[in-house]
Amino acid sequence: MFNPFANPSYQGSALERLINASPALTIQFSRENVDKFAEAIFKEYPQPLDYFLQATNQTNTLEGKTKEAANAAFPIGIGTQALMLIMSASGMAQFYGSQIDQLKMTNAGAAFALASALAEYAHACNVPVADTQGGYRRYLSGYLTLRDAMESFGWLGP
Amino acid sequence: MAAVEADQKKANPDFSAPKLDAKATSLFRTFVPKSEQAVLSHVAQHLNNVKNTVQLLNLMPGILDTAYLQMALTMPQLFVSGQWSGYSVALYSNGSCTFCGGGAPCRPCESRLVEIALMAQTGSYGGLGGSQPGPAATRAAQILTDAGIDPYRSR
Repeated sequence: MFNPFANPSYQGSALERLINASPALTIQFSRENVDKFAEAIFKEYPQPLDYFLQATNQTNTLEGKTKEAANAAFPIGIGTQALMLIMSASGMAQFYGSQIDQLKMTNAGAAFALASALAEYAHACNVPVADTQGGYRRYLSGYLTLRDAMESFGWLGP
Repeated sequence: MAAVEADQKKANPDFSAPKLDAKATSLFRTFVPKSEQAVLSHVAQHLNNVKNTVQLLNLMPGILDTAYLQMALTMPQLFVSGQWSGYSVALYSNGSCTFCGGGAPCRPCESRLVEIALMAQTGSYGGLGGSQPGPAATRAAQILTDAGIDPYRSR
């Protein structure tokens, strides 16, 4: 019978398997993925720099071809940075997961909250790399989910 | 949670837990696919609610939070709130049990889900002593129902 009060352990748990089997772990940092990521942004936001400046109440002082070039380069820069963070987030998830067993000894509630965040992260990233447009779909949201949770829980450093 | 890092630093003063970059996050958030923005907000809100619930549960330490942790570790799919397009948690996928990876039908996992669903009915997982089913119990019942299994058949 399922005993909900048994001593739980992250090691060997279904959550650990889920984190370790996350498709996000397999994404590669490559020009191809950066390009796919940038193309996906272009499709979603055709003038990405203009859109970003507008969203952040800034003014675009560039004009003509310089402005066009900036709009073209901007998503490549985003894709490069985002891909690195997406890749590091999958490693972070493994690291945070490994802390659950230690954390539960002092604060099982916090360990549960951490486990919930990791479950959400793994769920968001549960899609093959080939379907993510270089990580833009789902993996970016997975990263933001994990980061938001860690910030909310006070795990992020200054 | 910073206590974990502090503990590690006792043994290794140079230890630093990996940090997720803060600078670019607001930039990335601006460019989240439109179809995912609502889900992302919902998940963030859900995790914030979890944190607040945990803070309340800490007033009654030991039993409830450990029970929840046990469930989150063994059946993490019950604790996800994100309704990502094209994906929902099902009991079986490609002939395998979603929870343990075993073959279908998986009686142990079915039994666990029934117990979790029933716990909500009896108030054990009603959330702070209430009688409303908790989200994990509700999800367990839904997964069973979707698989054609009546979670309350034994009542």
